[in-house]
Amino acid sequence: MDPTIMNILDKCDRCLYKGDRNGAKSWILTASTLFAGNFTIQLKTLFLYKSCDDLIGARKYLEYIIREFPEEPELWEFLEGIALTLLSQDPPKDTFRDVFLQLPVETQKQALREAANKVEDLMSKSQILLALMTLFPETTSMYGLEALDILAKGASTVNTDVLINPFKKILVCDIIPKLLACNDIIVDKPIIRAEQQQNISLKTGHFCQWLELSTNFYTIGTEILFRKEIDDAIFAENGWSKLYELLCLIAKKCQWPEIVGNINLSTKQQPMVRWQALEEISNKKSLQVAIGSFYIAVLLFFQTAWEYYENVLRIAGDSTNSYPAFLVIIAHPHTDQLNLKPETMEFDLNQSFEVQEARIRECLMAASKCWQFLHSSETYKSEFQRIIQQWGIEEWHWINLFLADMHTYHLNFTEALGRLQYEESRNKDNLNKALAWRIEIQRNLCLLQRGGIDAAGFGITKVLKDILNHCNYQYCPPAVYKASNRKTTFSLLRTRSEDLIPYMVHLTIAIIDSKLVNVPNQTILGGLIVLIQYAWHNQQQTFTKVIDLVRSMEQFNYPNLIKYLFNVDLLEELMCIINEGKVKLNILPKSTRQKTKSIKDELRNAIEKQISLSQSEVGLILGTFLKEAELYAAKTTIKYEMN
Amino acid sequence: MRGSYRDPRVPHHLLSKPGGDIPWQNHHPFQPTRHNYIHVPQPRHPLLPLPTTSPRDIGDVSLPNLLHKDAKGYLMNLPPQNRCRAVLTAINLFLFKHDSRDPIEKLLSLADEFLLGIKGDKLSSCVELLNLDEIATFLAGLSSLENRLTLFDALFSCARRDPNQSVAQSREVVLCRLVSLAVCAPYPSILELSAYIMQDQSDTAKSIARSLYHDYFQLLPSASKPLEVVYQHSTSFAAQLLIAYTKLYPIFQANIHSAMSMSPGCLSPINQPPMPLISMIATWMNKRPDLCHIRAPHIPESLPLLHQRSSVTQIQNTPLTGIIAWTTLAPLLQGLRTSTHNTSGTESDELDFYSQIHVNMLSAVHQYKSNSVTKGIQCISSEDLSTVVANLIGLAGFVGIAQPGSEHFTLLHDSIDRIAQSIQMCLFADLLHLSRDHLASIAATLPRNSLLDIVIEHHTHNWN
Repeated sequence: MDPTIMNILDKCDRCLYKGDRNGAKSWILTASTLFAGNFTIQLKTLFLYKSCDDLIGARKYLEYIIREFPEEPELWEFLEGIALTLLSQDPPKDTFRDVFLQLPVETQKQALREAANKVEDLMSKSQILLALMTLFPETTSMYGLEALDILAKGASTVNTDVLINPFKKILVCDIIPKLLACNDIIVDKPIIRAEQQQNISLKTGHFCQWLELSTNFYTIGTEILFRKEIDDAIFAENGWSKLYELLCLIAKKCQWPEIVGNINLSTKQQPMVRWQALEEISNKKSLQVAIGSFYIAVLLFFQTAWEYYENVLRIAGDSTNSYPAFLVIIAHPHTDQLNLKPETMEFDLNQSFEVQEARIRECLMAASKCWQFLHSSETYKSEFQRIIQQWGIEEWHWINLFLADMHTYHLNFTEALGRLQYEESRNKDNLNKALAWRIEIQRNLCLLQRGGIDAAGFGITKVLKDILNHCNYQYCPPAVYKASNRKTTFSLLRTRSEDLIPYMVHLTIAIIDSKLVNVPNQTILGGLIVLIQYAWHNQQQTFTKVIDLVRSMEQFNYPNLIKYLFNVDLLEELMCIINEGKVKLNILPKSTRQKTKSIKDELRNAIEKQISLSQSEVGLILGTFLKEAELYAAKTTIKYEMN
Repeated sequence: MRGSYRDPRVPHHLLSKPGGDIPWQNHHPFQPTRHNYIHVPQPRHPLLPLPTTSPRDIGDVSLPNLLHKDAKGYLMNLPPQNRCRAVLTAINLFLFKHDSRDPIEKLLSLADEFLLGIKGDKLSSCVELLNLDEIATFLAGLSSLENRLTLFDALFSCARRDPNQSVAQSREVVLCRLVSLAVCAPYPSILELSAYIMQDQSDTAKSIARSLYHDYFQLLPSASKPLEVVYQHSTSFAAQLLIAYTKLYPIFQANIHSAMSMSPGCLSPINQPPMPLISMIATWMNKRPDLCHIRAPHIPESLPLLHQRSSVTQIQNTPLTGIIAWTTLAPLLQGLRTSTHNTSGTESDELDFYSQIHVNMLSAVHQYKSNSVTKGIQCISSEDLSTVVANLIGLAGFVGIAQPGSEHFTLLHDSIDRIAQSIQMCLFADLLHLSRDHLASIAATLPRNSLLDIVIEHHTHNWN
């Protein structure tokens, strides 16, 4: 900097140091006239006034530099800073916001308008325009659409890796609501922008475009917030309500009387109440109502689908030990109704779960209804397909999982399998272990329903082995799978390992049981004997059936079986068979056989040893058994394509 | 007087009490007490027309009587309020008639006697105050500025026609009382009209300034509020008053004869403004910094003013010169106090007031530059500047700090910094027309100062 300037500024600083504010102001004012073309000095003068708490002086000086230095880039930058403080709910104290607000209204407008014109950065431009419209709502009709264009242009330049597109955020959260609230913006009227008339006429399609954009933004944002990857108050304050507010504004603007003021459509209502209201208005034959109904259905579908996902499929926590909340169960394994019929479908949640059963059911039902509604006519279908393609919904992990559940609920197993298989293949390496198990189990349940018993059995056993490998399973004698008394065919099971393993054991038993014939494979029979122990209280019938089968044999060969047995009742039953002497049981390990002792003695010794096993050892046995038993030799791979 | 009781805004000190103690001194000046000697005046008769009514309405009836040789007798028989308004209406009617001067001279003579009490029998304080209030009300009721100005000038212009010095002085005293009343009431129109006279008649302006200081700060310091806010009612008046005060209290005058003319009998060249006054002016400048460059109101050429106007100069009459003089000399007051061992606790406050005035003046001139549409109108002449510099050198010499190495030599530099800042700002705003050589010659009389050098160099570039 020029030494002369430095000299004067130094004197100014010395005055400030001595507490002589008037002296400091005198020096800086003199400097500002001596170096009238130096904008840095002018800004320093302004800052000095502010630091001396001379708001009137600062206001006058700000007005002066705005008038005298309209081409100064530093001024635009400065005004942009002010614009940001104007937009802030809680602006920092040490800003020029208050000084700016003291300027005459026309000067404020002119300054912000000029700054927006001059800055090149699209974000800066849009923020200044936003500040202008926030401060002077009457300017919305003048600058709103310009800001919209700038932001749309900016949004297209943002890398797709960015979680929340900042341009879209301003567009959806600020500009669109302002435009919708502006009375000068009207729909489909022949009055075009004129010199005296500030009315701007837009097509209904424009408003629908804004609504689509907003729905897309809030839906994606809600999901990202859920993943804890952003911390944004916009979504935390319930984006769905804001979306509904936007819908209402558009309905008002587009004059959709059936929607405006229809309280049953509000997000505060239960999902099915909303669906019924939608169904009611959609019966009216009107193009406007048809358009409105379509967007209400889109909104309701995404909201309810999301809520279902959030409650049913959420991964609790972020560690490797986290699980999706629930698993969709298609049939209870203890029933013999493996082949379901659609009319038997029921929705049931175990009463011990903490979630609101009714709410989850409503969400699933409403989302399903909306999905059907959106596919109920060719126009709706093609419009919804367009949205799906434009938004890239096929790639949305959560929506695929939701759709898999939804299709399962409708017994549309092919669709469900397609979704699950797609998700599995797409996220092979990135899936959370527990979620991968969930998908795998659900996929195998669907396979089972489609008659692929061997493939399903193989898959389920594989998952069970995997779970046992990863979890420290502690067997608890009373740990039984608490099945509902109702003949439930669609229910949700908590996916903690302690809940899953008994269920999986039951399922495996049921699958094997269904394959038992009069002359069974001894390996399968042995496996069944071992597994029955883990579901003792619910498998009495199967146990009786198995023992009868053993008794009907001359010889039962399953070396090493004894080391997997621990249930006292079962062992006693085996002792009876041995004592009866009709069946030759070969269940001891070969290496431990001692010539000196009788088989009975050896078995007794072995049984006594097995009875004394601890619970953790019992837990481990299951994993070892499944590993060694090879209940299913090969997996039958079936691929399903999504329709 | 308006209303059924005396106007509470009129302070008692405007009514001179003939001798004795002042029983109301311990009371709020506007609070009536049982010691109050003023008789409650009769309210205005409800059937009498208001002063705002066209003058001819009354004048047509009373005019022949007023021009009659027994006009005095006729007036004596009129109620006091009607008497005043009848004369004013008649004068107002004849002022714009150029065919004959006789009637107007006669009517003005009646006004001097019956309204102002400067001829004939002296009016009682109460009647005088009532008459002044009536005059103020009558003037305020006239819709045209030209009309108001002509009538006011006819009644109060001290330079107009008084061959007798004592009459002129009496007229000035009455004017001072009217202005004092106008400050208190307030009567903005009277203040505006006074500003016309003050810009034209420097001595009258000083008398008014002195009188107001006496009334509002010396007689009853607790009642100074009306004067402190007078700029709210008339900026022109406040500006003219400010000019008068800077002339009345120039801090220092190298020319001892000038000093004596300011304060007769005082041989000291030091004449500082009193502390309450400087405090008030600092407040004015804080609230209305533009007071420093408010020009004197323009007198329309077409007005049939009775007195001869002083010649028009090229320099605009604004408080700027006086303020620059004050703020330039102020830092040396510190040295003055040290040299005379006269230090007080309020010294720093006083310096701070000057500092405030200085920065507000700079700020106002800066704003003037950016707001003004006209250019090239000087508010300060090079001669004025030379006088300020001469006084600066004189005061520095007087307090013994003119030489380098002297105890408070830095104070001199503070003063030079201030005048350099003022010069720079006035040059920037085009309020000072000064050649480079002239500026250099002025600077040459002062000790070398870096800011002054920068200013000269800066403007050398600009001049080139």
